[in-house]
Parts: sequence; C-alpha cells; structure tokens
Amino acid sequence: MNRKNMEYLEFGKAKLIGTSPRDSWRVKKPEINQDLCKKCGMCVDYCIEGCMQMGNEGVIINYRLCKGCGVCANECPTSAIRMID
Amino acid sequence: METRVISGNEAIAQGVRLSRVEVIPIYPITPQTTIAEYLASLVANGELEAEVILIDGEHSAMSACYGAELIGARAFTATCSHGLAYMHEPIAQVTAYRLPILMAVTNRRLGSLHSSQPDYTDTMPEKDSGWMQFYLESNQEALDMVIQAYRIAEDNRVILPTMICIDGFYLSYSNEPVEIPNQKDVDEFLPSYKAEHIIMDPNVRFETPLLTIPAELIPTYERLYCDAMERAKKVIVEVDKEFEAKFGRSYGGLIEQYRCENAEAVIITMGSMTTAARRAIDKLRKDSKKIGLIKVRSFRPFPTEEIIKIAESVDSIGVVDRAVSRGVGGGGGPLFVDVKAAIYNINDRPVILNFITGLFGKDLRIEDFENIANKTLKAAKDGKAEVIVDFMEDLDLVRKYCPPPNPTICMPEAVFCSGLSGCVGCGLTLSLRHTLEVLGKNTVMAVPSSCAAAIIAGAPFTSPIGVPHVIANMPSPGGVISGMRRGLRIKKRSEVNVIGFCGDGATVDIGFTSLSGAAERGESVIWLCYDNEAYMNTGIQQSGSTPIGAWTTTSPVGSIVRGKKTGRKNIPLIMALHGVPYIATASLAYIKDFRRKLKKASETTLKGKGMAYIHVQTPCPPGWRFPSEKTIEISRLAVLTGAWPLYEIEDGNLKINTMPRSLKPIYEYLKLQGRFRHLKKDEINMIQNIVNKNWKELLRLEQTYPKKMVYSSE
Repeated sequence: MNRKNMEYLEFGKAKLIGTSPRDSWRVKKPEINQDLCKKCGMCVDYCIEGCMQMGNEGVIINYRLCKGCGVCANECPTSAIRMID
Repeated sequence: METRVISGNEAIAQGVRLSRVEVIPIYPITPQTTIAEYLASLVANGELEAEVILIDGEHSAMSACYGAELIGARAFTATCSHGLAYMHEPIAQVTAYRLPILMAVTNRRLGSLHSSQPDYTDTMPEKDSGWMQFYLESNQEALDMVIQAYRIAEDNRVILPTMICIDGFYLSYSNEPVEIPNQKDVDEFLPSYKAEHIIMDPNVRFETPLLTIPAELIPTYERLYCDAMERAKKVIVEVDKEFEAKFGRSYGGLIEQYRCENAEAVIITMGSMTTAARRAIDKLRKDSKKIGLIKVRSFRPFPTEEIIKIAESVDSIGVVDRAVSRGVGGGGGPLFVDVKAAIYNINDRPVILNFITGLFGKDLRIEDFENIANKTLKAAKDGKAEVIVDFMEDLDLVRKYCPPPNPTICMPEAVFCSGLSGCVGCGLTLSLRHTLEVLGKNTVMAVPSSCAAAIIAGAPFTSPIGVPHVIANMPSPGGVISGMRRGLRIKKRSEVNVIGFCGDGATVDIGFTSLSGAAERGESVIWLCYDNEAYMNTGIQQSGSTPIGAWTTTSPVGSIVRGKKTGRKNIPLIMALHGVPYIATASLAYIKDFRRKLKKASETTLKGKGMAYIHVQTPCPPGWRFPSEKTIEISRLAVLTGAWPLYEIEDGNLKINTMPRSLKPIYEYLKLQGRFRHLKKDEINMIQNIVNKNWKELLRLEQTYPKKMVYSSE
C-alpha cells in the first residue's frame, strides 16, 4: 500500500459512479402487456427509480433495479401494466 | 414502580416526565428524534404538562432553553452531533448565565462522512464549555440520571448546566428492561423547581443577567466557576447515595470501580462499551489475571482524585477512547489526555496506554476488551509500552478498500443511476432524477442533510449520481452554493449549473436565513426545494412546511393535540417578495411542466440574472401513510384540489400553469393519506376553507399581474 492507494481514504474522495441491485426489495413486479401498450412513455416518465426505458419495440424494464413500487401500473392509461408475484 | 422494556430515548423521556420539566424546545436529529416523539406524545395525551416547542433549529432550541430558564422554568432539550455543534454559541451563553439546563446527547459522530453512528467526537469539543458531562452505560442509568442531574444541577452549591450522554443507537434505540419509579417518590427526591439563579421577573424584583465585567475580574470569575465544578463533585456523590437510599440503585458517583481489588492493571472506559468490558474482565479474572475496570461517569467535573488513588496502586492503565484529539502529539483521545494530566504529579507513575477504538460506531466486543486488557497487563509486566497510542487499525480492510473496488453495477457515464436507496415509491427520487437529467453533467450540487443526502451517500467511495455533489450543512446550503457560484465566476466558468437540492426543513426552517440571504444578494444559483412536508429523514417530524391538521410523530393525535395546529409557510410568495427573478412551484404528476421549469431555472441562472427557486411537492409513502403506487396520483390530486397550485413568477409576473375548471373537494386528496385519517368533518371543512381562500388569493394575484405586485427592493 502506497500513498496513492490511500488517497481515496486520506482525502475522502469518491470517483466511481454506480449502484447496487434492488430486486431484493421487491414484493411484486410489473409486467407489460405489449398488446395494450400504446407506447405513450408515461410509465418511463413516472418510474420512480428510472429503471424503465423506451425501446424500439416498447418499454423495457430493468428488473435488477426495479423496487416494485407499482407507480407504473397505477398510472398506465391503458392498464397495460399489472403487478404480478 | 413498574418495569418496562424500553429504549434509551424513551427512558430519557420518562425521566423528563417524572422530573416535571416545564419547557422543552426540541429539534429532530438522528438518533435523538424519538426523545422528541415520546415527549410530544406524552404532552399530546396530557401525561406531561409542559410546553413543547417544535423549534426551527438547534441554535434556537438552546436559546429557547435559556430563555425559559431565565424566566424560572425547568428546561430540557436533546440533540447530538451537528445539532450540538450548531448549539455551540448558545451553549457558551448558558454558562455565562449559570443556568441549570439539562441536555441529553445521543452521541453521534461529528463531521461529514455521512455517518449517524456513535462516537464521542460531538460532545468532546464541548468538554471545556463549563457544562457537566456524564457518560452513561445503560437505559436504566439514563432514566435515573435525568432525575439525579436536575438535583445536582439545581443544587445551590452547583447551579451548572448539564449534559447527559448516551451512545446513539447502542442505547438510544436499543431496548432494555427499565424500572420506572413512582411519581410520588420522584417528587420527594426532586422537589418542584425553585430557581436559585437569575430570574427575570419584573413584578418580583429587579434582576438581570450581568452583561459585562471588567477584564481584570475575569481570572476571579473563572476561578469561581471552577470552584463550582469542584463543589459539584461532592454533590454528585451525595446525590448518588441519596438516590440509592430512595430507589435502591447506585452508580458510584463520579466513577465506578469494577473488580479493582488487588489489580495490577486497570482499563478505563466510558459509556455503553463498559458492559462488554465488564464481561472481558470477568473472563480474565477467572484466569486469575489481576485486572480491573474503571467506568468514568462524570467526565466533567473530572474525577482527578479518584483516578490518582487508583493510579497509585496499579502498574499500568489502559484508556479506551471513542474520540481522537487530533494534533496532540501522536494522537491520543481526550480521556487519555485528561487521565495522563491527572496522574502527572504522583510518584511512581504507572505505564499509561491509549486505545482509540469504537469510532464511527464500530462495535466493541468482549474479545476486543480481552485484547486491550492483555496489552495493558503486558505493559504492567514489562514496565513500558511498545505503542502508547494504539489506533487498533484493521489493515486487512484498508487493503480491501484502497484502491476501492468497483460497485456492483458500474455506470461511469450516468448522471443518475437507478436503484438509489430511497424508500419504495419515494417522490424525491423521481424529482432528483428529472433534475439531473435536465441539468446534465455540467452541474455542481449541494445537498443539505436530508433524505436526499442519505440516499445519495451510496456505498463507500462510490457515488450513485454522476455530478459532483457535497452534503452541505443544514443551516447553510445557501452559503455553500453561493461560494460555488462565486468560485466558478472568478474561474470564468459561467456554463456550470449550481444547484442546492434542499429538503423542506433546510428551506423553510433551519436554512431559511441562508436562502433569504442568497436571494437578497442575487446569487445566480438554483434552489430546488423538494417538499415532503415534514422531517422525513429523521422519521416524520413536524416542519414549517407540514400542512395544518397533519399527523406527524411530533404533532401526534392525542386527547389534547390533534395534528399540526398551524398552517405552513408560503415560501414561493416569500421569495417573490425578495424580488427573485424566477420562482415556480412544480408537481411530480406534471413532469413535462417540471422539466420545463428546471430548464428555465437553468437558463435564468446561467445568464446571471439571479436566483431561480423551484418548489416541488414530493409525496412520501411512509410519512404520509399511503401505498407506494399512489405517489403520482396524490401529486395530481394535490394540484386538482388546489392544495398544491402550480404557478410560476417570472420577473414579478405571476402565472397559474394548471387551471382546473373547478377545484375538486379537498376530501379527495386527504382521504388517500393516513396522516389525515383522524380529521373530523368540521376539521376537513376548515381545511377546505383555507384552500379556497388561498386559491382565491392566487387568482387575485394573477389578475393583479402583469402589473408588478412584487415590492422591488428600491
């Protein structure tokens, strides 16, 4: 260990950007019925965690980061999202 | 007398109830908060007749304490860490007026490195302030000491302010069986308060605090103060004995000796760690090792004579410190420094060692104390110590983290990483995500202590957001962002956004002065207030932004109190009167509107026109008591019922952004939230009337504009 290795500690620096999986927080998870989905993007805007993305073929959910709050299912205007176990 | 299993904080609250404290100004800070909660609920249910002041900051809390004591009322407050540091100025004032105030401190580390874990770095800077300091080991001792402390502090030989310190988390939130004495016995032990110090009562006699004395008299003044501290030692022992006679529990006065008979070495501890140390001593005594334990209860006044007496009979002393005196040659904790000073004048001094450990809440186990005791015994045998100040480092862990490993999910380009540690359905997380997405990478951010600060303090060495940010002090986010903007200006970096991402506490209550100051100076910074309408990070305590009637843990629903009694501050309009160029309210249900406002705020500040203030409502599922999927629904209803009108004020012109054809009844908004569940029909009608009145006023203001209604500062 040299001083260079210690600089993060000595000067209290954080240089890495990242996060941890949150799937263990979840009780239910959202499921999208692509037939009903109008691709309005409302769920993407309202997703608390920001783990939904608009892809070419509809909305994609990153289940590793979804905490299962259910906001997307509650807000979907066509009820295309439901919370499943 | 009854025995109940309660936490250290509840034990202190029960002690306060039994001591018939009259005025309790209190401001929440982890891990002290539940003291405030228990006291608020005791008052709400009529079990304690006292004035609880849910005050706007610790500085005011201590000021209110001495205000009340100067009138002759028995006062109590509790705080820790940064709150204690913020109190530093009125703490000094209290000693000048010689007021027997009692403050409970739930020890927590002072300084940044977002920690709410216990060590003594918060109370140690106050050790020379002239307050008595007691460090306690158990919840029972905490309750008993509240009662004893008033007896000691109010004794006419003493009359000194007192701090009783319990280890945050280890005691504050841990449950233990505690015997709660009868009110009658306590009343006999602690008579009702007749103040012996200065009382400001114009009807009785003229008496007012001394405001100045000639410099020549200061040495005598200081000597008199130290004499009172010396006299306190005797009183502490006396009161402990009297307490034992009445309640059957003794703590030994200034220090407690544990198995010190014919000891060759002793270790000295303070606070909750002592329990583990006792077990280690038991084990070693079983192996017939001659070691004892000293618990220092009263750190101020310092038990010099008692320490000398022990030092004369042992060969080595190991002092365990939960704090560091930085810059004292080679380190060394405050307790070590004081013990060393105490024994300097004796002949045949023992070897003295210092163990710095338990910092940042590190758990101290029985094995740790066995290790400490063995090292102390070895020094006794050798007649010298290899290492005098032992930091007890864990080099394996240092190797693990230096250089730090990558986070589980690495996103080097992200401005906001999904998966922050906020609660499920957290409105603030959503507002933070859109804020960072709109402002982009070219941003520096200050976040005062709040939920936001807690959730962006990710894993060690890793940040879950991709813009440089700092946890600002709660009373001064305005100062931090002003400094950043001025620094950027002098470095000719005008393209960088500066934002203060503040909670409602830091905007409305404790940090309001710094907001007002930054607005008045015309600092080109964005101030975003995410308003979850209470102190959510510390656990749902009432703030200046909590709406009328709402339940919080410090405005509980009981037989006397029914939720918050008063309304909220209207900060956007207060900022309008400051002449701020851009002000907006926003809602999470109207994301496009929110993002447009953020963009406008960024443009306003980058042009150097002055402050941009955005006030966004962020519903909080655990605090407002609703299921997590309703976050957006509730935001929308707040707008549609008129509880949270969306408007912006640009250069003095007010414009309402969302104009419902007719407002929905407020009941629709209230019924979804558990915090309003207790409201009766007439109370709901009252809230409806307030909303109607505010809405009418807003419409009037919109019509008055574009004629500028805002008072210009000229």
